[in-house]
Amino acid sequence: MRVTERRLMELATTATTRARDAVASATGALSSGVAVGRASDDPVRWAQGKVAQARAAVSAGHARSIDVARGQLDQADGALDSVGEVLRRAQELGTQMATGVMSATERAGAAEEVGQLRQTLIGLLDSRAGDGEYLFAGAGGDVAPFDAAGAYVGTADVRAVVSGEALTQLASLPGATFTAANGVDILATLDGLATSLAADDQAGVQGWLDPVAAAIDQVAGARTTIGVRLEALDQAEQARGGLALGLAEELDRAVAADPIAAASRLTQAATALEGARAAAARIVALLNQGG
Amino acid sequence: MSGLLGLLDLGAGAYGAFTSGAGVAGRNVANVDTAGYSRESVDLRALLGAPEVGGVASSGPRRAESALLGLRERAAAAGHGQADALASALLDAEARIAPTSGGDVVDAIASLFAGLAAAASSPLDLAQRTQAVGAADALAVAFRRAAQAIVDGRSGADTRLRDEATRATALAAQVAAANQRLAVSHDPVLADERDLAATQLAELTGAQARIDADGMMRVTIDGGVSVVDGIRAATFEATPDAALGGLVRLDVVDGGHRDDVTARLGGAMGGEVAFRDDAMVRAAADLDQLAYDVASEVDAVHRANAGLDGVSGRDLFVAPGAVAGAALAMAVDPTVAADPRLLAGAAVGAPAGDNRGLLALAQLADQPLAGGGTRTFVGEGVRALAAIGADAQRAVGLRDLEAARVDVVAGERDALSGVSLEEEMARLSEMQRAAQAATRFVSTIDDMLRDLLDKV
Repeated sequence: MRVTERRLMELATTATTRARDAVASATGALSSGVAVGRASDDPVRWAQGKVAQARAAVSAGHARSIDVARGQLDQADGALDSVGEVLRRAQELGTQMATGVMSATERAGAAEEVGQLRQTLIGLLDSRAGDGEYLFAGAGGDVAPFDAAGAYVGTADVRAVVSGEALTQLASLPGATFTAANGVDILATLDGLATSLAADDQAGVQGWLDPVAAAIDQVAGARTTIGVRLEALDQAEQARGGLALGLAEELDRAVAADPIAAASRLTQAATALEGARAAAARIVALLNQGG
Repeated sequence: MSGLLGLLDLGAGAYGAFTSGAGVAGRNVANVDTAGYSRESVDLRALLGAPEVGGVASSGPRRAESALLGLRERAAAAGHGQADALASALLDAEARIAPTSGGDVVDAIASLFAGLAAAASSPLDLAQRTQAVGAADALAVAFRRAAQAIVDGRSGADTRLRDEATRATALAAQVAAANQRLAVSHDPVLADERDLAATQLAELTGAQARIDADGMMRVTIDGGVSVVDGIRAATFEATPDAALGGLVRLDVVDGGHRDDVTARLGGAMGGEVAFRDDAMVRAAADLDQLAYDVASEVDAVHRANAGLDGVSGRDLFVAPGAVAGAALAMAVDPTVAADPRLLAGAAVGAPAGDNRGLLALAQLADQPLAGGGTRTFVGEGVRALAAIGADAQRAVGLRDLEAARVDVVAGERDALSGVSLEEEMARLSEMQRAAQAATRFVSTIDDMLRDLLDKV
């Protein structure tokens, strides 16, 4: 086939340009670590990577949700720990004052302390989370769940939070747990104990010891529930973390450049470019010689 | 036998033939880099020999050409023009609709549902609500930006089509003018110009040309609509058309006759039309449907729940009136945007701290509510963006293929019509030597004549 000098130069230029583009592409993949940056590079792999990336982003929202819920349950557990201490002090006072050796004055003093413990209890059960929400209010989180009289004004709702794809976890404990609907009314129990102490009613004080013990058990049971929910949230977070890891690997598999393959491609492209340049130089030399 | 004077004529004729050949070789060398130039040659023809004087004569310059190769060259140019225009436009659109830096519709959908999930864990937290409403606004912005990129892409193609129509008209006129001049002169340069204009016209419009027995080049689009018929050239007119939403329709106008060739164009204009009226229309439809589905589904849940003020029935997104245009019109309801406390996080009648509304909104992420109830919003968004990428990838592949085809034909054209400096220099040297010999021959005959005259 007849080939002119112009055609030879065109072929040399085209070969060099192609080789240079290949080197640029291989260098880009190696330095950025990304083999598929756009859908047009590889629509299937790009779509796989994009889905993984989007799921990971939604999963990050689930992580925030779990984190907030765990923080609130931790705070609730801390408050209930204090509630338990308050109740145990009340139990201790009741046990002391139920004996015949105590005087009316001592029982009056104890009544006063139990009254103060009751107020402390109301304060604890009206604890608020970092965002100002009442921890034991059920769904009525913007209103203190226990009023000054110790009546529960919150709801019995238990909040669920999103913990994963199509997954929710229970993440609160309503104050209704501490009312008669779920055992004894712990505030009314302390109220009753204080009244009996104030009245120097030894038998009455004796009679309140069982309800106080039941209240302590009730709070312990509530803490167990919180523990179970925290455990469930921990497991959900572990599962979510595993999913996030899997998604990161999937993203990596889909769009990331294999460093070894990219380096090999770069070497091949560089060799091809070197060859193309050498060929172009020889063609130019040949043409110069001819001229 | 011929006399000395006849021999002088023979020498002069030979000299003329060889200088003509040298001239053609010189012109070939001069045009070695001229686009569309086909090398020329002279044919030396022996004149009748004894008892006549004989000698040599040259025919006029002859172009190295092939009608079949010309057809293939124009077909390759048309294919490459179309693939190149489509690939360039699609790659540009893809970069604007789904930038590699992120922030596309899919990212924004994911951010919205991440924000709603986080807000559901703390429904009274104004910061979380603000973040969720902000994510909804970012989603609306992403939809509008993508839709605007499609509108701009189509508009850009439209502008290019207007310019290309003007260029196509000029090229058709060039072909017709060359036809007219070639009817009276067989200057090879005119044929080169006509071929080059026809190739450029093919690359621009996909129009195919043939040279008929009368020597006239005739150009048609899609085998039917005449663009150049002999010395008459039609014009390409770009006319805004309401049926195309005010974008231009392409007509070939010949006198009072008008043909709508919008859907019949090939070449770069065909590529622009395919981008504008096919690829981008599909992309816009996908995006509008997704925006409509997201807004409708989110709004349905949002309306069924209440904000912190206990009021229900509000939309989170401005309710889309129709699927068409939903992406470009997407916006967060201004009331909710101004006051994130109105984000409907609670069930109707429940206290403000209830989060069932936010839970329901967050859980929309996992439901197959898009793509006709077959995909999640993220899944459908990825499909829509990947479809644009797949279109671009196909177009780029086709462009590479067509470029290779153009390259092959260019090689064949070069083999036939290209100018080789070595060949031309050898030819020039050959003609120069022959002319020198002819000069010497004339000089010898002249000496003989002088001798004869001296002796008479």
